[in-house]
Amino acid sequence: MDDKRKTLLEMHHITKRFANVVANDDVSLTVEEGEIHALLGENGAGKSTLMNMLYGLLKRDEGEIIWKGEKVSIHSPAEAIETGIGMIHQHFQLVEKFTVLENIILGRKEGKFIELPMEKAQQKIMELSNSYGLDIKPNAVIENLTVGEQQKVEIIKALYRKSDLLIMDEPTAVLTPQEVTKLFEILKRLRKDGKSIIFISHKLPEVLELCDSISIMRDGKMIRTLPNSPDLDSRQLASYMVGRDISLNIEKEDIEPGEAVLILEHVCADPVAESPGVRDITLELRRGEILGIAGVDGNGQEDLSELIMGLRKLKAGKITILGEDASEYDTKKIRQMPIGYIPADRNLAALVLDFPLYLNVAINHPDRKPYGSRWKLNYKEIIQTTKRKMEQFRVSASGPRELAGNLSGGNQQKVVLAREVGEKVDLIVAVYPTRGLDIDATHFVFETMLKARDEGAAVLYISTELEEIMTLSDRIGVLYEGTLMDIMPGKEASVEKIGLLMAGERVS
Amino acid sequence: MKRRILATIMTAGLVLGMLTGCGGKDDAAQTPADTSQPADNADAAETPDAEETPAESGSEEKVKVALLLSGSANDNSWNQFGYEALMKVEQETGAEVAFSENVATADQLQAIRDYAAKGYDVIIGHGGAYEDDMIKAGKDFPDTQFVIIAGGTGAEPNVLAVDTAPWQYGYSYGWVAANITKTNKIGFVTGMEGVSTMNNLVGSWRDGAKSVNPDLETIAVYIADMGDVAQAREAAMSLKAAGCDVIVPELNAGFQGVVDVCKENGIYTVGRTEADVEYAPEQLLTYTVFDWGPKYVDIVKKYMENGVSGGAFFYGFHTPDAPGFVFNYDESNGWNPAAVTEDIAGKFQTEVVDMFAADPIRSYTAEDAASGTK
Amino acid sequence: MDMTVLVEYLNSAIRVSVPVILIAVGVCYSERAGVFAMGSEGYMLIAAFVSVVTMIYTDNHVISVLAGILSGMAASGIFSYFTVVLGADQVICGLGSNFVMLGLTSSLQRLLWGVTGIPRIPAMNAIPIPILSDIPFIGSMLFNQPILTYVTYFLIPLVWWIMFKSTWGLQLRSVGENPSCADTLGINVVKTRILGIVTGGAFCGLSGAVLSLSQVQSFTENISGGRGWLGLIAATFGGWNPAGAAGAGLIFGAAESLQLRLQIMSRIHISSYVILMIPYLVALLFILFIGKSRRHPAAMGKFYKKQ
Repeated sequence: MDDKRKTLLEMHHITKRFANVVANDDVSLTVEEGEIHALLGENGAGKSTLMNMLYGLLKRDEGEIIWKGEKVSIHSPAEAIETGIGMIHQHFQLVEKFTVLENIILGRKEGKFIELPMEKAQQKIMELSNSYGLDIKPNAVIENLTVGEQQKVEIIKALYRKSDLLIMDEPTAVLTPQEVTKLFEILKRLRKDGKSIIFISHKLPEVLELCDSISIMRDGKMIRTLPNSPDLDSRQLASYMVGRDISLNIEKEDIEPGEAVLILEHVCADPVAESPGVRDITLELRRGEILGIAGVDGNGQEDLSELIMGLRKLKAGKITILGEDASEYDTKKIRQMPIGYIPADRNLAALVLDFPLYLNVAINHPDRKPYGSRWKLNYKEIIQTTKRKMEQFRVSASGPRELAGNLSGGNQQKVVLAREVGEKVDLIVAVYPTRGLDIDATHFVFETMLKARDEGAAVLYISTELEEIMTLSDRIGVLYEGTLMDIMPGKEASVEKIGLLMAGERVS
Repeated sequence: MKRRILATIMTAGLVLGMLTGCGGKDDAAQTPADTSQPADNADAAETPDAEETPAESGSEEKVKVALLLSGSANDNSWNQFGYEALMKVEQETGAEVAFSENVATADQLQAIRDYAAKGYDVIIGHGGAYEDDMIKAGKDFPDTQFVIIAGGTGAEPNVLAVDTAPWQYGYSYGWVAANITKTNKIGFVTGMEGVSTMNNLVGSWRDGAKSVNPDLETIAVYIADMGDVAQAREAAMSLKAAGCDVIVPELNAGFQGVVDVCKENGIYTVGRTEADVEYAPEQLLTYTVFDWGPKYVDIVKKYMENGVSGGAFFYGFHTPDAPGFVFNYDESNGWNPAAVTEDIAGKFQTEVVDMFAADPIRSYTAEDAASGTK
Repeated sequence: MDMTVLVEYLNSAIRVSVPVILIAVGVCYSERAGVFAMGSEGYMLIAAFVSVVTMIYTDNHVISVLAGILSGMAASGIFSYFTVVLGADQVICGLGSNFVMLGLTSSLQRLLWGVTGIPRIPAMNAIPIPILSDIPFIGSMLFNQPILTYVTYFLIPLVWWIMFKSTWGLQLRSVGENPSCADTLGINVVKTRILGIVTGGAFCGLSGAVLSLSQVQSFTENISGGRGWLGLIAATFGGWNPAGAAGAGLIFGAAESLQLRLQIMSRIHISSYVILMIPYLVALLFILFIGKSRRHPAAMGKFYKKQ
C-alpha cells in the first residue's frame, strides 16, 4: 500500500431525508487515489442514495463533499462528469440502437451542429481500450453485445470523459465467473494508473478478493470503514451488515433421493421476445433432492420454469409430473397438483400488490378448504390461516389486512413462500427466489427449501447466484441459451467448471 | 396546481376549436331567417296520419323551406348556387328558410328527418347523392315535399327529383367541343362515377361529340374529391398530356384547378360564373348559368299551389319560361365568338336546341359515362 | 408506351409528391426525438392558409413561403409545450391540433373573404433549368419543376446529413431512444425534443406553402386533404430516415399520378373508384410487407420527466 497516496474524495456528515425516512444519517466516506473502495450493505442500507448524491442525481440536506481538496457542489450527472466522477449503474445507460462509438461520444459538446468527430474519437477510444485491456469494437451495435461487453463500453465512456473516480453499482450481478475475473483485472489496471473505484456490492467473497478498503452501511448509517486484510472473512462482514452475529453455514444432510417427481424428455418451447426458449432439455428430478440450475440471467430460466408450469406451449417432447403425462396440461390443471411455484418476478407474477395479504394467500385455491367453496369465500377462515402462516414464516407486517405492496421485498417473498410451500408439496419450482432479499430473508429461503427437501419434496432451484446453488444443491445443471449444458453432482462442481458452462463452453 | 389550471384552460380551448372545426351542422347559427318559434305552424303540429292540408296561399302560416348542402355555402361553385337559390326563395315567396352545409353522407338521413320533424314543408337536397335518403325519409312524412336537385328519379307521392336535363347541356358541350377541336381529343373532369346525373352528363357529352365526328376521342377522368383543387389540376394536366384541347370540368371547388390549367396551356374550357370569363377570356367557351333561383322558386310555388308531387322533372331547352340553363359569354354572345363562329352557332340552334325542344328526354348508362377513353 | 407520356408522368409524379415528402421529412425529426407527429396535417393546413394570405397582401413569393414555414413552427411549438413540457398525451394533442387548425383556417377564411372565397394569386410555374433540362429523359423529368421542388432536392441530402452525421442529430436520436441515458449525459431532453418537433413543423409549413402557392394557387377548406397522414406513413416506411421517407413519399406521389393516367389510358373500363384506391393500396401493401420490421424509436410517445 502506497502511503503517499493523496485523498481524492471526502464526504463529510452527509444527511438525506425523504418524507419521514432518513436515508442517509450523518454518513462520512473517504476515498484515496488509486484505491478500490467497497461500499457494502443490504438493500435499503443507503448506499445508492449516498452515491446518487455524489453523482448529482439527488440533493443533499446536510454535509459537504470535498474533491481533490476543494469543496464542490454537484447538481447533475453532467456536472459530476465534468468534475471527474463517473458512474456505471446496475442498469446500463446505453442507447441500444447506437454503436459503441456513438454511445461514447454522445453528449460531448464539440460544437452544436458540427460533424461528429468520429475518427478522432475512435483513435482515442482504441488507445484507452488498449491501455486497460478492454478489447472494444467501436462499430458494434450495443444490442448485439453481451452484458460483459456492454459493461466495458460503460467503463470506456467514463474514461473517455477523464473520470478519476468510477462508481460501480453491483457490477458483477450479470457476469459469469470468468467475466468477473476479467473485470477485476481491468479494475486493477485502472487502480495502478491512479484511478479510484467505489465498488458497491453485497457479494462478500468478491469484496474480500478485490477491494482495498471496505465501508459498511446499515439502516442509513455508516457503520465502519476498515482496510481489507487476510484475517477478514465473510462472517465478520456479514455481521457488520446485519448488526448481529449470524451463521452463514448451511447444514445439509445427505439424503437418498426417492422416485422421480418431474421428468422432462427432450422438451422444447418457442422463444418469446428476447428469450431463447427451451431447446431440447432432458432432466429428471427426484424426491428429496435439490437440483440447482445455474446460468446468467436471460438464458432461458423463465422459459423452462414457465413451461413446466403450463404457461408455455410445449412444442415437442414430454413432461411427466408425479407419474402423470402433463404435456398437454394447462396451468389450471398443474396448479391442482401439489406443486409450489415461486416465479422470477414476484411483483408481476406471484403477488397482487394492491390486494391485502390474506387475499394473496388465498388466491391459489380459493375454492378449496379452508378458504372457501365453489361459490363462496370464507373470509374468516382465510384471515385466520393467513395469520398463522405469517407467524410461521416470520412475516413482518401489521397484519393480514396489510396491502402486499407495502411490504419489504423479503417479507413479500416470505408471503409467497407461505402460500406455495406452506402446505405439503411434492415439487417446488423456484426461480431467483432470493433476488432483492437481505441476508436474513435469504437464509430463510434456504432453510425453507432444505426443510421441504428433507420432508421429501423435489426442488428445482433456478438462480443466478452461484454461491447459493453450490451451497444448496445436490445436483447442479447449467442453462445456456435455452439448453442444459450439463448436470453434475454437487460435490463435483467447481466455480471454474460452472463458469465455463455458463459462458457456453462445453467442459469435457 | 398552476399547471393543472393552465392545462384545463388549454384543453377547453382545444375542445372549442374542435367543435368549430367539425363544421357547421348547426343551422340555428347560420340561418338568416328567424328560427325561434313554437307551434304556430299547423303542419308541424300535425302527425303524419292526419288529413292532408295543402297550404293555402295567403295563409298566415309561412311555408318553411330547408336546404342541405354537401359542401360549403361559399365554395364559389355548386353548393353556393344552392345557397343563393335558397335566398331567392326567401325573397320571392316569403318562405322561412334554413340550411345546413358540409353534411357528411352518413349524416344525410338524420339531417333530413330532423328538418321534417321540425315541421319544414319543403326539404331540398342539393345534389344527386340525396336520392336514397330522401326516398327513405319520404315514406315517413307523406305531407312533406322532398326534393333532390340534380340527380335521381324521385318517387311518388312526395319525392321530386329535379334536374336541368344534364344530357341536354352535356350534349351541347360535346357538340361544340367536337366542332372546334383541332386535335380530335377532348376531355372531361368530374367525380362521383356511377351517379345517374354524371352518367347522363358524361354520356351525353360523348354522344354530342360523336354525333359530329364518330372518330373523336373522348376521355373522361374521375377524381376522388370534388373539392380538391390540386387533384383537379393534376387531372387536367394529364388530359393535356394526352392531347386534349378542350376540357370540360364538372366539379365543386375543384373546378378552379381545371380552369387554371386550361388558362396556362391555351386549352378551351367552360366556366360557371362571369368571373371565369374575365379571368380567362380566350380559353372560356361559355359559362353556364344554372340559376337555380328561378327553379327553386318554381318548385316552392308548385308546392304552395298543388301540394306534394313526386317523380322526376327536368328543366331544359323545352321549358323556356324557367330555363334549365343558359349559355353566356358576354352581353351579345352565348358562346365565345372567336372559337364558336356564327356558322357553328347557327347549326347549334338547329342541331341541338330544336332537337331537344322536340324530344327532350334521354338517358345514358354508366357504361356510356365510363372513365377512360372512348 | 410513348416515351413522352412516360416522362410527363414521372415529371408529374415528382411534382405531386413534394408536399408529402416534405411532411415525411418533418415527421422524421419529430418522431426520432420521441414525439408522435400526429399534428402534421394541421401544421400543413395553417401554413397553406398563411402563405396564401401573405401572398395576397405582399405579392412576394419568398416572404409568403417564409410565413408558411414560420406558422408551421409556431403551431408545432404550441403542441410541443403541451406534450413535452406539460406531459399531455401526444396522440390526442396532435389530433386535437388538427381539428383546431381546420376550424381556424375555415373560420378565418370566411371572416376575411366572406362567402365568395379567396382571390386568385399568381402561379409558381415550372422553371426549366437551362442545360440540365435538355438532358434527354432525365432532364424533362427532374429539371423542369417549380422552384420549390428544386429546393426540396437540395434539402433532402442536407437533412439526412444533419440527422446522421451531426452532433445535434445524434443527440436528437438519443433522446428518442433512451431519454434517461441522454439525460445523464447532460443532454437537455425537453429542449432537444422541442427542437425536433419545431423542425418538423417547419417542414410541414414548407409543405403547406408548396401546396397552396405552387400547386393550387389558392386556399380551399381542408386543402391538405389527408396528405399529412400519407406523410406519417411515408416516414414510418422510410424507417424514420429522411432519405427513406422521401423515397416512400415519392412512391405515393407516383401512385397518385398513376391513377389519373390509368383512367385515361384504359380502354377496358375499370371503375374509377377502384383506380382511385391505388395510392392507399400501396400504403396497405407497405404495411403488410415492410411495416412489421420497422421498429420505431424506443421512447416514442412516452413522456419524459426529469428524475
